[in-house]
Amino acid sequence: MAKTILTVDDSASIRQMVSFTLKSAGYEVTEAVDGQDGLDKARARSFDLVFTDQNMPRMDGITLIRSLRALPQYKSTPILMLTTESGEAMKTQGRAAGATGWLVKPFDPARLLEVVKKVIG
Amino acid sequence: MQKHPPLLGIALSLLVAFAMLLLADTGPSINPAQGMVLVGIGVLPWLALTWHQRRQRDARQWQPRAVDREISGLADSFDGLLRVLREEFDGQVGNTQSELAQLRTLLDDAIHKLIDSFTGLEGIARRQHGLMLQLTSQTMGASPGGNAGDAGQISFEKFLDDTSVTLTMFVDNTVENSKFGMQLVGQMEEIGEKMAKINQILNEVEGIASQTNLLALNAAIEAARAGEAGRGFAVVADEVRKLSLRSNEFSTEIRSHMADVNQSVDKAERVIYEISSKDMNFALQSKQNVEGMITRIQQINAAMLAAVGQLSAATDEVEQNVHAAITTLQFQDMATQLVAHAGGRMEIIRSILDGIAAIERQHQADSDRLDRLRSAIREMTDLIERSRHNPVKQVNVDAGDIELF
Amino acid sequence: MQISQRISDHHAVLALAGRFDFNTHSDFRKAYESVLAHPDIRTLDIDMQRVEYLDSSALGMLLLLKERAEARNVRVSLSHPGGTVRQILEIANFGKLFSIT
Repeated sequence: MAKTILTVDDSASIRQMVSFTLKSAGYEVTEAVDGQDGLDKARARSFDLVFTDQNMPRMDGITLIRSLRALPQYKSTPILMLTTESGEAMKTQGRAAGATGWLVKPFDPARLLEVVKKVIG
Repeated sequence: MQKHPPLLGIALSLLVAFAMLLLADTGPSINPAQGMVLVGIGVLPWLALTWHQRRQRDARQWQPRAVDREISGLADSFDGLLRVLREEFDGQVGNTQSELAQLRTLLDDAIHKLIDSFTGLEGIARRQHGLMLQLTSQTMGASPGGNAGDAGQISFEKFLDDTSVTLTMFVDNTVENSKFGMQLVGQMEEIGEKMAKINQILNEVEGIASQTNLLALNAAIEAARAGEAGRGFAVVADEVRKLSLRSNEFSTEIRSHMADVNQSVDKAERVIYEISSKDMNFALQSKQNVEGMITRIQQINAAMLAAVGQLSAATDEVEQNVHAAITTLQFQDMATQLVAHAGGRMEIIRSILDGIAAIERQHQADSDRLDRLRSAIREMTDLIERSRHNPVKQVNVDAGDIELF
Repeated sequence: MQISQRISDHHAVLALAGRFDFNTHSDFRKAYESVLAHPDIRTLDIDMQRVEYLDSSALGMLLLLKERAEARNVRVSLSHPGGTVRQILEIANFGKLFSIT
């Protein structure tokens, strides 16, 4: 069965590109438009991997990670930040919140897939 | 001059504060909104200078009441100008914000369509590659994917192999037939040699019969000479002569049969010749034809494989290019964030200007006004500090770093 | 076809010239029988350098020769066949039956 991935980003084009990249590699992808939407969708079912942006309306990425880590089914699920933010302070915050990794946009589809393969096989 | 320093001080400190903050924050590049602010700032020293010149002129005919009136009028004009500036700036900021929103919508729409185009392109390249593989696996009997020998596939190579095997069998049979034929011919020759020996024997038999005949003839003559006494012997001699004649007749008969046998052997040899003596050039010709076809088909197969390889490479290249396009198209995400950030900066500048314009001159002493302006500048410093965090540091669209914790 | 014969110690050579076909069966057989009649002969080479043509009966004759020779422990080899003759020997797989040089 295909692995499921939740991608959270307020940019429709980024969602579209992440979805295309992951789907073409055979993953099942669900999109969420911001942190709150992502949290709602993550609660409704469980995912094998979560990608989240940082700067989003309603709830930002780091807050989403903290909220997800508080849920028992997301204790050890890989959660990757995919954001334009590249500052060390922000990364440290993300890491403390429980992020599995930090990918700075723009992403290269081939490298994105490498990371996904590394993280969830 | 000493009596009315606050307005000049306000103007100069505003100018310095704006210039320093804007230069420190944005560097050399200036957007339209900042341009507006700078224009506003440009007005301030002009105002201050005008006021200063008028004051110096007035100082020559110094009268306290007239001066107060003059200052009050100037302060009113300054407030009025500030209001005009703020209104103008509000309008410009509003327009710029709506233009930025329009830019964002345009970008969204264009990027969405571009992504569709690129991903569609990749899909088409993949389908094309798939069709080519299907086509070659059907014509070559084996796909590079390894489904060799699928039922119902046409295999020229197998057909030619079969033809080759058939040809070899045919050649083997021909040679084998010839071998048996030549064996038969050998035996026929032995028969011929035996017949020759029989002929020799027959010659001897005929010689013996001829001599016997002569002897019988001589005996008959001697018997006649003996008269009555030889009558019985004459009968015997006659019988012996008859026997020799019969022996000759048999010999002739045998010779005639032998001639028949010889004819039959000759006929058999001709038949054997027909069977055994085959021109082998037919096989050479067929073999060359088959080999020629095999070579040709191998060339075609090789060309097809090469084409498939090239198409594969081209498909990979399309994929890589689409990936590069996807990476590059993410500029929109960065651009959108930068546009939003720039919009935020303009809002801050607008609120700063609003704050300054709101400090009305009426009912307030100049010194109080000065304090309020100072605190407005402090607030503005905070606001600008907060707007300093730019979510996008990238200066190009190269793929970003990846770090796994 | 002309057939010339050379014998030295244990080795004999039959050199053929012209068309090697059905009509030569008698001459060819006599030639090899006379060679095989020498008890000391161990190897027999058929020199085909000057053979212009070869039909299937010639191939049959060579096979018969091989059988006859092997019965007498004599090894038969074929040498110097020209272009077409060589191709015909190859297509009939004679390379597996004789040493062809």
